[in-house]
Amino acid sequence: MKQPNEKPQGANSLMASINESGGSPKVNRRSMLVAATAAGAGVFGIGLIRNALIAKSPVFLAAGQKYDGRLVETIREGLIACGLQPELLRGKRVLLKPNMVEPRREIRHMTTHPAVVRAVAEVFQRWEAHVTVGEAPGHVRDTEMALVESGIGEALDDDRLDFADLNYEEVGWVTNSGRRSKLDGFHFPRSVLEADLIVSLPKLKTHHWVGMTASMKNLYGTLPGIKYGWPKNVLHYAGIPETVADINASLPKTIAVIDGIECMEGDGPIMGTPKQLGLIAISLQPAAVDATCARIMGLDPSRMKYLHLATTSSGQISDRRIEQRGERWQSLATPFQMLELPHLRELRAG
Amino acid sequence: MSWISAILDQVEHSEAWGFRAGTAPSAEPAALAAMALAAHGRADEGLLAARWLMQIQAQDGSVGLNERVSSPGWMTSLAILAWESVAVRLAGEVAKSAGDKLREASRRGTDWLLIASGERVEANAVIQHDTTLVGWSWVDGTHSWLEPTALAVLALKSRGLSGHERVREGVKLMINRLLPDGGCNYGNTVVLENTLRPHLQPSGVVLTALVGEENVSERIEKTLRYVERSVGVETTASSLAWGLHGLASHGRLPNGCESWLEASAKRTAKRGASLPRLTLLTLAALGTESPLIILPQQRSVT
Repeated sequence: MKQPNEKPQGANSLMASINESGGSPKVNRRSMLVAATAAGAGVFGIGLIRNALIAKSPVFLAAGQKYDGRLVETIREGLIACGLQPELLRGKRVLLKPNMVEPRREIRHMTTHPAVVRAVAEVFQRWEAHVTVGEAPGHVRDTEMALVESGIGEALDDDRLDFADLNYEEVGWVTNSGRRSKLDGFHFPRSVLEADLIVSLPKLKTHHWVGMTASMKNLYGTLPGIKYGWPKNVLHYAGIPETVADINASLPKTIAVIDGIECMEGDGPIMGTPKQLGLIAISLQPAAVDATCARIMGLDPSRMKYLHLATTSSGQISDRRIEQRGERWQSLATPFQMLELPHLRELRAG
Repeated sequence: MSWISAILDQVEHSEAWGFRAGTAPSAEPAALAAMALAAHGRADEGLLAARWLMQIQAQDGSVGLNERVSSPGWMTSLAILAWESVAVRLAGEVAKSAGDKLREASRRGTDWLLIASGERVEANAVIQHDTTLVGWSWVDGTHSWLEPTALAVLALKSRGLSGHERVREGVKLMINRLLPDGGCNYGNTVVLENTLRPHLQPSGVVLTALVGEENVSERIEKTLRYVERSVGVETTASSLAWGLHGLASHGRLPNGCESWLEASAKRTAKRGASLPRLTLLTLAALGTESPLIILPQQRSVT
C-alpha cells in the first residue's frame, strides 16, 4: 500500500499489470476484463478511429428478479455476458461496495439489499477471488449501526465475509485522473487501493440534486469520512457531477451490479418511496449501465451532467454505443416519480 | 467491573490506538483511550496516549488524523478533552511537570479551534436550517455540521470558555439543527420541504454538548425523549455510548443501562475488536463522571 500523503501515482498505476501464472501474457486489469469482448470483435491492432467506431459497452439486464430468487445464477450469467473472464479472477482481491448511506431496517428501499451482496460475493468466491465487502456510510459515524440496520451485517456474519470500514481505514493519495473538479486527488482507504477490482453494488434511486444515483454516485462511499466528513461535504463544494466523474476515473478498475429490484422514487436518495422494478443491471462500464438505468427511469442520460462528464473514462452513455444483453431496456421502461423541480424536469426524456 | 478492566488493559498500549486492532495509532482512538484510562484511575497510563497526541500536534495547534495525515483537524477537540482530563487527574511530581505541558498543548489546540470555523451558506429555500450560523466543520472550507460543532463546544467548555461567543453561537447552531420532533442527524433538518430522520449517535453527542444550557427550546426535551426511546440493550456500541452520555448530561440515565453497556461490549468484541467503540462504552459507564460531560461546576479556568 502507498503511504498516506505519498504523492501521486494515480489509480492506473495501482492497477499495475497482473502477471498471470503459467507463462500466459502479462495483462492489465482493463485488458483482462474486456478481453473477451474486444477479442471477439477483433479490435486489437486496429486503429483508434476504427476502434472508436465499433467498440460498444455491453450492459446486461435481467427482469423479474426477486431477493429470494436465483440471484447467483443471474449475476454470474450477466457478468460473463458482459465479457468478464472468471478464470482471470482467481486469487484477485475483489471489493464489493454496497450502498449503506444511512440504513434503517424499515426502509429497505434506501440501501442495497443483503441478498444482492451475498449473491455477488458467492459468484466471485466461486471464481476463487478474495472477496471483501466495504463501505464508508455517508451520513452516519456508527458503521456498526449501519451494518445492523441494513441487514448486511447479519449476512456477512452468516457467510463469514470480511467487512472493511472504509470510513476509518488508513488512507493513501491518488491523483485525480478525471480533472473535472478542482480537486487534485483523493485519499482512498487501504482496502480500495489494494483491490484488484471494485464492484459497485448500488441501490437504484432517484436523487434530488442530480436526478439519479446508481453505480457511479455510489462510489462516493469509497472515500473515508475521517478525511471528507459526514456528509462528504468536500465533494459537494467541488461539485457533485464533477466529483462523481473524477472519483470514478481515479479508482482502480470498477464494474457494476445494480440492485434495481426494489428501488426508490420521489425524494431520493433518502426520503423517497419504494418502487418495484425487479431489475438486476450489470456492466463492466459503470457509465453505460447508469445511462441504461436512467432510460428505464424515464430520464435522458445525455442531460445528466455526471454521466456526460464521465463518458470517456467510465463507459459509453449513448444508446447506440451500448450493446444490450439480456432484456431490452425499452421493455422495462417505467418512469420514476421525481420531485417537481426545474433542475429535475430538465432531465426528463422526451 | 471486569469488562471495563479488560478494555482498559488493552488501550494502555499504543498498538490499541488505531481504529482497528493492528492498525496505526490515530488521534480519536488515542484521545478516547487517554480519557478512559485517566477517568478510571489510570492517569499515568493515560498520559502515554496524551503525550502521543502532543507529538502529532502541528505548529498551529491542530491535531490531524495520525502521524502522517495532518488534516483535517476535527480531532483537535478530542485531543483537548484528553489533555484536560489527564492533566486534572495526574498526581505527585508528574502532575506538575507533565500537567503543565498538557495544558500548554491544550491551550495551543484551543487557539486553533477558536480560529477554525465552518463556512456560512447564503440563506435559501432549499435548506431550512439557519445556514448563516457558524460552528465547526469536519474539513476546512466546508459547512458547519453537528458533531464537529458539538465536540468543539465540549472542548471549549472544558477550557472554561462556556461564555465565549464562538461557544454561544455553536450552542445556537446545535439547537437550530434539532429536528422539529426531536433528535438530530449529521446536521440537516428540512431539505426540499421534507423533514429528515434523526440518528442516535449525533443526538447523543449534541445533548452532551448542551449540558448546562438553559432549556430554551422544546426540541431539547423532544430530543431527550427520542434518545430515551432509542437506546436499549440491542443498541450498537458508539450510538449507545453517546446516547447514554447525552441522557446522563441531563440527569436522565435510564435504569439498568449498565447491563446494556456490558452486553454491547461483548457483542462488539465478538464482531472484531473496534477499540474506540469499546473505549467509548467504558466512558459511558462513568455516567456524569465521564470526561466528556462538562458539568458547569467542573469547567476549568484558563
